[in-house]
Amino acid sequence: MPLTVSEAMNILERAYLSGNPNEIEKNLRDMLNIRVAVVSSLEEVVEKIKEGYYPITVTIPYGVFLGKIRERKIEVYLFDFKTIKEGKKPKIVRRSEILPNKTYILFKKDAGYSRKMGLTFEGEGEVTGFERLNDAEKVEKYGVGKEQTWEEHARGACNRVKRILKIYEPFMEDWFRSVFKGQALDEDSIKESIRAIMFAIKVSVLFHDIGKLRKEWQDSVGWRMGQPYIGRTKEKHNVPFHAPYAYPFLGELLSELFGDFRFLDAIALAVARHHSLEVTGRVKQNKFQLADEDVFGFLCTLLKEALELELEDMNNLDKILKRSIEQVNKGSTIDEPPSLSDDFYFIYTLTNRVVKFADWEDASDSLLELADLGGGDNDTS
Amino acid sequence: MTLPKIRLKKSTYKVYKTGLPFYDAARLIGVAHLFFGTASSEVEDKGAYWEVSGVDVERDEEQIKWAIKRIAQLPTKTRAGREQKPLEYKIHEFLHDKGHINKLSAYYISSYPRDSEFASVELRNSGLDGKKRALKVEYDAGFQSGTRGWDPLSKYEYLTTRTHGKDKILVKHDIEEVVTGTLGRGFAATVSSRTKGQTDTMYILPIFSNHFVLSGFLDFQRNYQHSAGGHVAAVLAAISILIDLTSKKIPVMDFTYTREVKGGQTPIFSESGYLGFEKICSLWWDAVKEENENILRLLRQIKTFLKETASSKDSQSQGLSRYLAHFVVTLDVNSLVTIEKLKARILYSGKAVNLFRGYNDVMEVKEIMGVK
Repeated sequence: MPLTVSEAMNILERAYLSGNPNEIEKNLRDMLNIRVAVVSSLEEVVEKIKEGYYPITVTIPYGVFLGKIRERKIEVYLFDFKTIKEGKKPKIVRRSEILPNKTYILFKKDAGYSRKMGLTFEGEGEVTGFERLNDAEKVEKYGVGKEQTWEEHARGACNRVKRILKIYEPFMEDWFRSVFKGQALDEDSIKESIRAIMFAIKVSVLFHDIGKLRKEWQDSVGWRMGQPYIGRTKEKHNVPFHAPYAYPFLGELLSELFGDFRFLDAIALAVARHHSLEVTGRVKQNKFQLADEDVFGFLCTLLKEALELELEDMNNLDKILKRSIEQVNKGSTIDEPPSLSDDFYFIYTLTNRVVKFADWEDASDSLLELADLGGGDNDTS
Repeated sequence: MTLPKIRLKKSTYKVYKTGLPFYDAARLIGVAHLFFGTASSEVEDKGAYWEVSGVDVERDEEQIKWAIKRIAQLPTKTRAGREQKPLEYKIHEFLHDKGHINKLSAYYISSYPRDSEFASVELRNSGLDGKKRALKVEYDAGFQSGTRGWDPLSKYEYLTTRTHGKDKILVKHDIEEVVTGTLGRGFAATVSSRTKGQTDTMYILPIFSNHFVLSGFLDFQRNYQHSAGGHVAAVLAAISILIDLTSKKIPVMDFTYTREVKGGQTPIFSESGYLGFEKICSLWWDAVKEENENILRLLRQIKTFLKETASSKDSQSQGLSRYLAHFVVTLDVNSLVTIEKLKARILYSGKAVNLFRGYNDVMEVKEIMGVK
């Protein structure tokens, strides 16, 4: 888990009050974890990885782990997925080389692991075992993703979000009815407004990777003129960031489509944060140069087809998309996310969750969000 | 499918300025919280008035009550057994009635000049009629008759004798203004200091830029004091509020205050205006925008130092706090030099001073002063 700014400040203040700089290191060690896999032999690890299994790990605070290693003089091996997959044995590491947020291998004779007690470091114990992971977890844990064109991923994520939003629809309705109770809307207006907000989320998910249609991004992944735009690839070399561009683009697009409502900004910001919550909404001027001129027509057709949208005036949609791109190039200032006490916080957190899950589900081609509720692996209805 | 529409209604309220900064800020914050408290309101300065707009939401009455209850003292009984309710308490009760809220809403939607929506009978029943709603110094010292400012003779044209007993009403405000002003006051931070029987109480509110979004409730620490005096306490309050608002990302430009100094129960003078902390506010806002953690860390260091020395009786620490407060407001070299001299003296007496230590701190101090 990354350390939040407020947690870091808290640690600094505590260190100041106690007048002891070591307090910082102690706190950090308590907060940071490492993952440990307990095995019977290194050969077994190599064999299992080849067969498509992954080691089950247990987490332990970083400081505790270092203490035990020093006390017991235990051999520790680094779990490096890529090296082991190539058939190489894990390397032994010295205590000073052990880092937080990494996975390490211990032998069962040293770890003293049991399911009830966890890691005891007291004599012979059990192994943690192996499991076969689904693709989504591989993406999350080991960075293994599939290659996709921009369009495939946009359509895929959009299809995924349709299923996920169906699950969340009753919650959305409940939120809408309670927050806007004072408006005394008739039943038809309520239903239509809910559909419109859900539709805004779908549009946002469809365009969540709009920043990848920048020339700079496409160039960095080896796109060539005439080819379909690239969405996901393993061939990455100094890839520039893409997610923040979704904020000014969607902010403008959604307000053009649905009107000037503050919570549409919250949806745009939540989508721009689909990789990191650190995104503030700030984008510099004139940084959004499109891969080529065909992007407008491509986005227009995609919006119409992916969401089965019937618009009388497609020419108008083209203009709206152009204005949205222009808006990104005007740059955007810092935005204020809804606070916990804000009525629109629900819509912000919901959008942030569904965009992440739609993104992961499509990248890994599996069902992640409340999988028990919604069909099989390929059910994207 | 055709594009569905969002059928929600939006409202725009206008808060006309009176020219009294604290009272205006309180009414603006009051209107934003009263009508959009638990949602988002967009505020735009239109010159003569502020426009506060947003989607109409169901008000969270509990939160409104919470804000007013903070300043509303409980009723007292006279010798004759009659119940006396302070103004804030009456307003707290007044807001229980949904019909009253609707009238308040209608008032703020209408354009200037506007008349109160409430009939005098209705106000009499709530005990909010006539002289009973005289505004105290807590609303803005500008409403007070009597001496104003620390050097009243410099503005002799405003000098009048201070009335005894009940405050004199100089301006009769519509009840709508009083209600939102009271609610806004509930969000003010209280800065107090006591010296030799004198009590100096200051209420401060942040002033925002000409276009901002207020999302959810304004929340920051509300009570401050410092043994080195009211000015140091005000700086501590300002820095602390800025830090508390860092995550909310609202552009604070300065602070407005209203203040009263009393000797025992006798008022000595009162004043109101702006604190003049634009430099530190703009420094903070730039740091928030650019996510400059180093500057924010330095501001936290200053806050922690002032907080730690808040009840110190050591004259050296108090002196250092005064110069630090001065430095925060002016960001000038002279105060910094004095700070370093005072630090050297304190260090000589064997005490540690955790302020501007180390290479990084020095670099940040140079950066905020614009020295390369």
